[in-house]
Amino acid sequence: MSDERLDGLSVRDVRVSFDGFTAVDGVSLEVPAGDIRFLIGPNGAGKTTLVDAITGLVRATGSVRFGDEELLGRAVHRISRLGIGRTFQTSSVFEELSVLQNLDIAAGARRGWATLARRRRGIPDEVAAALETIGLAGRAEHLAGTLAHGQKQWLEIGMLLVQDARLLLLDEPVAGMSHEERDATGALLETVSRDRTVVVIEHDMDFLRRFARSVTVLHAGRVLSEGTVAQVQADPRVQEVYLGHPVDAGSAPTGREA
Amino acid sequence: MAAVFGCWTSASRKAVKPVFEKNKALLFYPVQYEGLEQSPYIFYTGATTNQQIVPGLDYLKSQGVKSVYLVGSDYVFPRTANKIIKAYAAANGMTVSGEDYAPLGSTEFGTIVNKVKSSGADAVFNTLNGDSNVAFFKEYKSAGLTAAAMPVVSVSIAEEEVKGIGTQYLEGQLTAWNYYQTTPGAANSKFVAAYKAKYGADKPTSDPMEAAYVGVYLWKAMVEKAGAFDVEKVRAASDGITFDAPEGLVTVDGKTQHIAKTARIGKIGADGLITEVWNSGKPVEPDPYLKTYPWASGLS
Amino acid sequence: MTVLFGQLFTGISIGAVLLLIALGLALTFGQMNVINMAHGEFIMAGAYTTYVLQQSITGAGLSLVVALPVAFVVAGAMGVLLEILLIRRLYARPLDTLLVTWGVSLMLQQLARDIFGSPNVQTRAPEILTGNVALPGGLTIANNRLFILALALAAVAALTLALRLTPLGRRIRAVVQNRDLAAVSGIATSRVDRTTFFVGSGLAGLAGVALTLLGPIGPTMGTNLIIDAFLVVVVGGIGQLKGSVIVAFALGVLQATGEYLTTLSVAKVIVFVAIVAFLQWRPQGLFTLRTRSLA
Ligand SMILES: Nc1ncnc2c1ncn2[C@@H]1O[C@H](COP(=O)(O)OP(=O)(O)OP(=O)(O)O)[C@@H](O)[C@H]1O
Ligand SMILES: [Mg+2]
Repeated sequence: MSDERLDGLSVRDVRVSFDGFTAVDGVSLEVPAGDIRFLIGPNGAGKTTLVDAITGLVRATGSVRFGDEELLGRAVHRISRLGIGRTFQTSSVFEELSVLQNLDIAAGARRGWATLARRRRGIPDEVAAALETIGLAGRAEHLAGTLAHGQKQWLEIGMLLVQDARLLLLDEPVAGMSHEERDATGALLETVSRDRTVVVIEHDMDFLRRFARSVTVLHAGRVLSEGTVAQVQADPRVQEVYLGHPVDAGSAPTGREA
Repeated sequence: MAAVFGCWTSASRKAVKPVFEKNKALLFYPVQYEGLEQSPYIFYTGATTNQQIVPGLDYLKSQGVKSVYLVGSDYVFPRTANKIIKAYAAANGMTVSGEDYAPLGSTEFGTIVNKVKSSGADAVFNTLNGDSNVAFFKEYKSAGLTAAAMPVVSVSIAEEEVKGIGTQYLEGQLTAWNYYQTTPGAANSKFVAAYKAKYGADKPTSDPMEAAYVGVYLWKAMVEKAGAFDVEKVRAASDGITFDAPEGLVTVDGKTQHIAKTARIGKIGADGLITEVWNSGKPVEPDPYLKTYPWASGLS
Repeated sequence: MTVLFGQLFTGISIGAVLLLIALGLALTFGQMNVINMAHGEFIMAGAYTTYVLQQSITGAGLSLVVALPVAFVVAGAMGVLLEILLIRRLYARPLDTLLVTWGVSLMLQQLARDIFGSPNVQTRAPEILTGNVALPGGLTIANNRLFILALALAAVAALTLALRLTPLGRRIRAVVQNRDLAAVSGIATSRVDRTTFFVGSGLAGLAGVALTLLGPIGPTMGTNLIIDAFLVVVVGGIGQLKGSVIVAFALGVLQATGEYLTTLSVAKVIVFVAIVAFLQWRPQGLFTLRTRSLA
């Protein structure tokens, strides 16, 4: 993958409305190539909706560019094939398919129509590698629905890896995980960010402090603050949003422990 | 409104009957039916039971049939017809081996044919309606039942229906009507030729068509005799009106407002046409309530 | 005894017919979550395809063999057209889709009436399929029923294998299970939808060919069938073929038993009551897919 280009994400004035209610209200942000950007904000801030807009699942106005490519207006699977991968807030795998088949689908999505009808034998290298990376090599034949919660979330990330995603948009990837699992996930993020750009939506502040390289705070559909972890934590507006009143830097924000 | 020609099922006739009676308007109904009805405002130009079902039974009896299985659709005509058949059988030393009804529109006849087959009856009397006939005869043949071993007499299968089922399944089976496309006579030759010229050589004529055609001419004769379109005057003039119909001479009975018609039993041929194997020799007087048949005294 | 065995086979063969008419619907219903009310008319299209082919191919056996793939393609193409022109545009509006496809079903019936006339038409079955296999004890099994049973089982087997083993099948299953996830995984869901509609509608065409051996071929032949197919799919559970298979045969045997012990009309009532009772107990059907919301 090191031969692939590293691209950044550029979001300009993106707006999403649901029947008159504006969930994302003119958000602009720049995520440089190779960054691990954390997207935080209170419930309902519009984080998930922003990711939905980037991946084409909801209609949006404005502009979203990844590298040289404009994403808005493209079909969901086309955006995916440009190297944009995401996970969902509620862990989403194909429950009735095996771990291997889940990875196969993600890996196969870019393959040509002609190879579709043929049944492939053996496990492709990139799938085997992903199985190792996410620690599920021993469970390849298990139905994804039978995996533990944390394992499902890793499988989701594994699917993005075999999909050759160069931009990873992860919606609360460590929610419901134990401490050890969080550490493992964080290490995984650092590994994959070597040749990918990563955006993480998270409420877990401890996790954020340890693994974020930069942070954007959303509130009521707008960008409230942006910078390093320290800068954002020091921002009185952020403290106000999270706690209702300004407090000393360092103790806020805490947010929800999922 | 001088007169209306139409309706197909008994249900549709029964639905409009009160409307015609209330408004004192005339309906000419062209389809064979279950009898036991008489309305001052309806002329019945198709067969009533003693012009179709009873001759059909007479024919089976003459062929030595001792037991019949009754198969019909679940509505008024088959149920009434089968009551009559059972009364006839009781009085004529026949047994009824079984009686089954399929819901209207039903096209699944596995069970019924299974029961018919195991009953060992000599013949089947079929009062199924519409699409059910197609499924019944396909099943019948698949079960290995044949016209030679266990003939089926049908009262709702005319030339048009034969086309929709296929002679593969119907060849040799029997029908009871008053008219076939093959009925001899100058009037019919003219009728068939004119019909084919208008609707196409592949379109057969059939009994209900002929009865509808006859209805119009009978009405014309009634109007001419009455010298008016007035419904009551037309009715009063109806008795004894005759017409040289494709089926032969028909005569209106002013009392019942049915017509005297010749009964004909036919056999379905490989060409899809039906040829007569028996007829009543002369027109049969209509008797919708079967008053002249002692065995039918308990029916109405 | 002979009658009882005959009845058992009748039940199984009723089940085979139900399965054949419901299989394609199960597939499209699972995929789009909407009932395509025009499915019955796709069956009709298959039956008329057989009829039209027989006008030029006179050998009954050959024309039947040719009719199977041709009807599959004809009905499949009609399905794709319906999907592109209407169903796609009504996505996530199940009630509207139901009404619109019902309207399409009426239009297709009228089209058939205009082209072929309202009376039924006939096809000639190969002689072998109008006969039967005689078993000891006077029991006979109709060849056309055996043919339909074999066709239904072959269709289920082929479909199951295709869904399980081919990448295309895996994509179909992926879209059925989680459409958004499938899309963000790079699957062209609209193309998969179209393929599913082609196959599902094509199966209706196959059913139509088979039904020419059993029942009427006319403009309204689909109207009765759609109800039966609908019941099988709903009771079987959405997005699961095995549910439809089990339910089709169970309903077939139940109906045949009911018909034998009571009357055909009462048997119909028994079947309906059984279905209503079952759905009270398991509204989601026999089998359900674990979905995101239930996980
Ligand atoms: N499909 C939809 N229709 C209508 N409103 C929606 C829809 N999706 C989201 N919203 C609304 O948009 C707002 C933003 O929702 P979003 O899910 O993006 O928030 P979030 O920042 O991800 O919150 P959380 O931390 O709870 O996940 C909320 O008020 C939500 O109710
Ligand atoms: Mg969210």
